[in-house]
Amino acid sequence: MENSKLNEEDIRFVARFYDPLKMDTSEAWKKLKLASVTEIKYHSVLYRIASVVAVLIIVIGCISVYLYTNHDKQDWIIVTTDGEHSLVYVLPDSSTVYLAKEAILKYNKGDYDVRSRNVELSGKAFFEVCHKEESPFIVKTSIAGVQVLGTCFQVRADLDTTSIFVDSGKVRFYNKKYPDVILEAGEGAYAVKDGNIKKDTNVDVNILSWKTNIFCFRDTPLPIVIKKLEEVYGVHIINIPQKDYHLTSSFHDISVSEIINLINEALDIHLKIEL
Amino acid sequence: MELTVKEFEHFYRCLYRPLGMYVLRYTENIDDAEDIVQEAFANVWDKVSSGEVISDFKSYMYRVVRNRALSFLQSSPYELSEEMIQNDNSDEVEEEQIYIAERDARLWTAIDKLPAQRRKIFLLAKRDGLTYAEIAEELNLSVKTIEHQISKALKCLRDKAVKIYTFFFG
Repeated sequence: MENSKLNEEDIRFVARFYDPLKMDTSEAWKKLKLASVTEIKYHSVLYRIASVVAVLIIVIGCISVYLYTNHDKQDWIIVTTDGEHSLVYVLPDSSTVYLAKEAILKYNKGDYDVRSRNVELSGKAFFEVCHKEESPFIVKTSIAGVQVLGTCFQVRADLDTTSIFVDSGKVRFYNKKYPDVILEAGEGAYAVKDGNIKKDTNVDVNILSWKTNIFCFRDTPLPIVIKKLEEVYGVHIINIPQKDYHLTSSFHDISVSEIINLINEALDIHLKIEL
Repeated sequence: MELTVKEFEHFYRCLYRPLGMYVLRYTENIDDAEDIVQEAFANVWDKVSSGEVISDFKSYMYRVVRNRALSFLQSSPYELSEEMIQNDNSDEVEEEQIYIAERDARLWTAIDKLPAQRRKIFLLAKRDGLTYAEIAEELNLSVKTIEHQISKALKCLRDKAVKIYTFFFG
């Protein structure tokens, strides 16, 4: 089946089409990657044309022919990021959304901020909403909804759970069937499909680290520290000692390798980032 | 996502050129071949991003590009040879054809790596069909030199095209 002999014909075929500028795999990959961080706009303009034509000509008052069009503009915007990076997106009302990697945000530009500001989310994102009394900001996920007036909070919409953490302000967190919950700054909650909404009694102090790059550890067991760093920076850490170490330290916006160095110094261990 | 971006990139880099060479057999046009392969990957990327799981990624890609190549040919004034229509009946792309595509891809890469002058001479002979005498005159070199360059090029290509190891193309 496999001819290990390369004959003239085979060589000529490839040579015939050979072009040093074509078939550049790296270039092609870059183009494909670029296409995945896009803002896809859907336009669908619905026209309703009604025309009435008078059959009978009535002496007193004629029925005239009129044509009117009714535009109902739908202008859906979908914002997503590729698997590696987070994205900052500014909505038309200046509210800011920080999308974590692989999150997807959807909203209809046509009626955004008309009577309310509605967005749909899957994945994880942090919102900074501009205060607007007359136009409530609503985030809808497959499982729950969040209504706010103006505040900063994080929503994480997975397949079967939507969780929320409030950084400042107040939100109303609700589900189709169950009574809704008002959450304040520092509080978190989660909603499961067809389940109750439960307040999070043990909110992870570092729940926003992916966005803020600020970590706060207080007598935290080393395995948990490592897990958090791996999760936020997408690295794999090795040389973890068996002994029971705890870390009390906070890190503000420094690189993961610096953090590892500092931890190694503090605990006299030899953690390494696997390349 | 079942497939991470890194894993997808790995598949992409390994399959891009072989798939291109495979489609080239149908389209006989390099730009069309690249377009078809790129569109296929974009389409599969969307599927994977929305949670679809693909087992045996490589076979899947070959089937996808074969179908795209065939519909491309059908919608343009090209003639489908009897061979091509026959091959379409089986669902799987035959091992033999995949082997040939991979070998052609290694050949392409090997041509990339030839030193500039040698590659030029090689292409004048194998692509443009010039005789050694004509090439010698064109480049102001002796026929012996041309012979030597061609034989070195062929040896290098044969070595590289036939070896069975995987490496990233391009």
